[in-house]
Amino acid sequence: MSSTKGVKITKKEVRLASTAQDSEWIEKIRVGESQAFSMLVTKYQKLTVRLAYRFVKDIGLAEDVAQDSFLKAYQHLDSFESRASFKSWLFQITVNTAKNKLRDRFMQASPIEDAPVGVAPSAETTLQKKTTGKYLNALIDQLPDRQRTAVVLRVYEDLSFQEIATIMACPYDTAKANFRHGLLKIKREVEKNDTHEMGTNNDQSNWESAGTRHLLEAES
Amino acid sequence: MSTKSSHATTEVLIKENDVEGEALSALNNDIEFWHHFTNKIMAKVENVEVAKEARLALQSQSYWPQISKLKSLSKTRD
Repeated sequence: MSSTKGVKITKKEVRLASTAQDSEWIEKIRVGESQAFSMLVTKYQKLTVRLAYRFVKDIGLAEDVAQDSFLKAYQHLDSFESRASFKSWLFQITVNTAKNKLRDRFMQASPIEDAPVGVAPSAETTLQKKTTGKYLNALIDQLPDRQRTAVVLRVYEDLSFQEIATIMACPYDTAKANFRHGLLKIKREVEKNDTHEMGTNNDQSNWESAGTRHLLEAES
Repeated sequence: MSTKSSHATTEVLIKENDVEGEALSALNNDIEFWHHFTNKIMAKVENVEVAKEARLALQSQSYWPQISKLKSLSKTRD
């Protein structure tokens, strides 16, 4: 009697199965079954809107970006190589479309100086989490474009460096370096603000509460 | 502390304070929104197909009959 107990399916196996499924649908679309595209839309729509939102910060705009990206993918499906990952290809289109949309609208991220720092000395509350979250988001937004892209794709979307490299159209090591440099800059900014807060306020709980307590605890 | 674990800690800090992610999670469960989203894209896909067919139909028409038609129109006008 066969048992599935103890059988582990690796992330790689899941990814391969997913890619194979995508290829099947893509083949159907290529032979004229355009309705098969709805399967790809259903599968990736949430991820695509999420990803677009990370760049444009507006749900309506993120929806537009995702719609445009799917349509571009459909129109250029002939140029897609079946051996590649459709997800990475779609994400590449989404990131580029989001950046172009931002450029078109002349949207500017708020500068680091405007980010809220030094939140109230209290236990972790929803408000504090929001403040810290906004502060960290502002730091991410201020990173150079490629570092920001690598950080967003890795931290929020949990993608592998290989996938990030494909999306960013760069070598694996470059994707990794962009991520590391970006994260290091964020860490330095957080520490710089901690030092600043320490210098201006003697109440230790004040400077520890800006979400940086996690860092300090982990490093001690 | 090694650079690797330092990166991991910063990554955890960002993930733990992901307020945007929380807002997006709420949207994830909005079945209406996603149903509408899929339909909108598929309507656009249909438009692309209709436009493609129209273009192919135009291309398949012979060039010369069009020219002779234009010439005869031109003569009629003269």
